[in-house]
Amino acid sequence: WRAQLVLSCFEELLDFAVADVASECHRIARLGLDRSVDAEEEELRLWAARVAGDHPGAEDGATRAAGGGGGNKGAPDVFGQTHPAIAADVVDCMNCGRPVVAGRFAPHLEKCMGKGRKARAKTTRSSTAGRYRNSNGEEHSNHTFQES
Amino acid sequence: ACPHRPCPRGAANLRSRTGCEVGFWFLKLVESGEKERLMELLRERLVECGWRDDMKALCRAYARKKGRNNVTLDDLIHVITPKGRASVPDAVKAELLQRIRSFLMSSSLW
Repeated sequence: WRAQLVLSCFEELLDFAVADVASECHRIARLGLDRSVDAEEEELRLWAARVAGDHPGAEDGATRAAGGGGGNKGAPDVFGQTHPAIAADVVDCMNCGRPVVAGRFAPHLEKCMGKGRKARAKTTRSSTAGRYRNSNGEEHSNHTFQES
Repeated sequence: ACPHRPCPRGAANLRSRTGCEVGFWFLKLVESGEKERLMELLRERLVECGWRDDMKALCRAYARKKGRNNVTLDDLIHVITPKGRASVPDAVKAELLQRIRSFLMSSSLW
């Protein structure tokens, strides 16, 4: 009976550990905190859905997309103006120099600067070159970026 | 069988899932502070081996499927308990069992 008792005590402890994790996850789910973890994924998914089923000025596509925090894009604003759901202006990336659609700039920059999850970690500079300056004059350290 | 019975006071009447009456001994663990030390150790080991991450992933998947506002704490406990119990690494279990055994053996009532 002693061995069984020891085992049962362990099982009690394990049940506490399980309840602990479940409690934390329950809180995260109810408070929507997991959205910050999946925000990147969510953003890309929504963007892909908008691009696939949307065109500038259409309200349907914009209102169909889940309202993440930015509200409805494409619906008329207080001045009666409509703006495309995806900003269509083209800008030049200051990191790699490529022209990028403004509405795609953030995801581009994530990959471009090597911060995104799916970015490849290729070093294009030697490890001794610790810092470099970009065109804005800001200092970065050991960032990797894709070969253009 | 164990000659000791759980204390008649409600707090100590802990029954494990196996039905074994651990109340008396578990109370000893709690009173001495050993339960807290064991929980700390167990938590640490379960984090190190990735068990906690696995359980969190199960919970996240379940919450996504059911809708995060429809999830209850009971749901999550039921979802992860079977896998949770089965996936504790043997080494972790052995270490905890040894600690528990040592502690209980040091009690004069053992």
